[in-house]
Amino acid sequence: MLRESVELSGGAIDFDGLTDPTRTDIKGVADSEELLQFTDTWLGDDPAAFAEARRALVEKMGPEAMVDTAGVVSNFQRMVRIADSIGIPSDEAMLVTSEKLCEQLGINKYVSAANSSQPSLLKKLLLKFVAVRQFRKKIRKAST
Amino acid sequence: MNEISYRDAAYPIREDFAASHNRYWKRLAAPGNWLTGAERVNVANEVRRARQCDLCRRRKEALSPYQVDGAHDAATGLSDVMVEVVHRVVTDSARLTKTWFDGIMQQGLSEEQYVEIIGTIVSVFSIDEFCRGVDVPLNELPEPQPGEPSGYRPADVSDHGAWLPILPPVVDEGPEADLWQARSGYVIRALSLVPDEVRTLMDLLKSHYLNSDEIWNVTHSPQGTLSRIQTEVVAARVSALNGCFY
Repeated sequence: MLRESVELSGGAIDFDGLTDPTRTDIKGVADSEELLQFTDTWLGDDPAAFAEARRALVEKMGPEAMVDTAGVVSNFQRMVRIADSIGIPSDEAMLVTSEKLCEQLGINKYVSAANSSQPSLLKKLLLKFVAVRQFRKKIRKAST
Repeated sequence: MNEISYRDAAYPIREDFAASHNRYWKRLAAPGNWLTGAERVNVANEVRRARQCDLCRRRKEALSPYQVDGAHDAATGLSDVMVEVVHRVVTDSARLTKTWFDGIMQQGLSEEQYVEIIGTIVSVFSIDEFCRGVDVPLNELPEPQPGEPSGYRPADVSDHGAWLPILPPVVDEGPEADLWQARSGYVIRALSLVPDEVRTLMDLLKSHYLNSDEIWNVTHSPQGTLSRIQTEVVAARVSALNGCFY
């Protein structure tokens, strides 16, 4: 969704920074330093750093944006646990669409990657030409 | 039960957060499909206890959680297997494996009970996490309501590659037709062995993230305070820090 969103906005962002906990901002994303600091300290174990990150986010983006960010973080704290505990595979079209990005970001090394098996070469080709195109068409239609 | 309200918070919190949290708290207290109200509230209590559990801390620090034995610091009288599920999912879900899941099933928990426990864990955890994020005290847990679980299991669940049966991507008729529109991805269908857990998921999704029919519009920014790209960057970062492939 992020990649599609970036593509449709006509911009570019540094995807590498997303999975690297040492990266403190994402080039191409406004206010990413404050957003990542808030997210990283939320999932860390230093309450004082978390409070400071909250203050910095409020100062930079406003209290409403901080609350909405809290909604997103708490939502995905939930979604990852659903995926992990039910052992769901990734949708095959999504797997094919994000194959290179997953490799680039090292996501394939996560334990839960074992729940998704790569489709065969023939199926991959079929998915690329049919399912992935339909997926992108659906996104573009909904986004215009 | 006290009504959840965030009006006294230090920050302006949209009313729809409190509204969706109140709807869930009411559901949490009532008998579910496979758990009593008391069991559901006990699951919520264990969600809160998990972060103080010494066994969970030692497992989290270990190279493999499966090398560390011991008993959980339980807060309730829930069975050991239920406590194991709650504590592991809260504190170390990224390293759950099919072998672990099979072991849980062999200890007498049914697939339906497991799904309702997971649905309860993640809803309570998400609401508690929101409170922590916006720096308000955790909401008081509701008093359990009497009554027996309904035992409802949808007819159309089957093997779709997850660890347990789920509904197919398209459900356009029958009692589950309201769960999602058109075709749905795995993460929405994951809890569909207990459809009420999907209904809760969708309800909380609206206030915390996006209405499900807005997800495909990747330029849409529902509240206007965060762009969709900023929203998805935060979502991706949370998933990465949790080590979640999905």
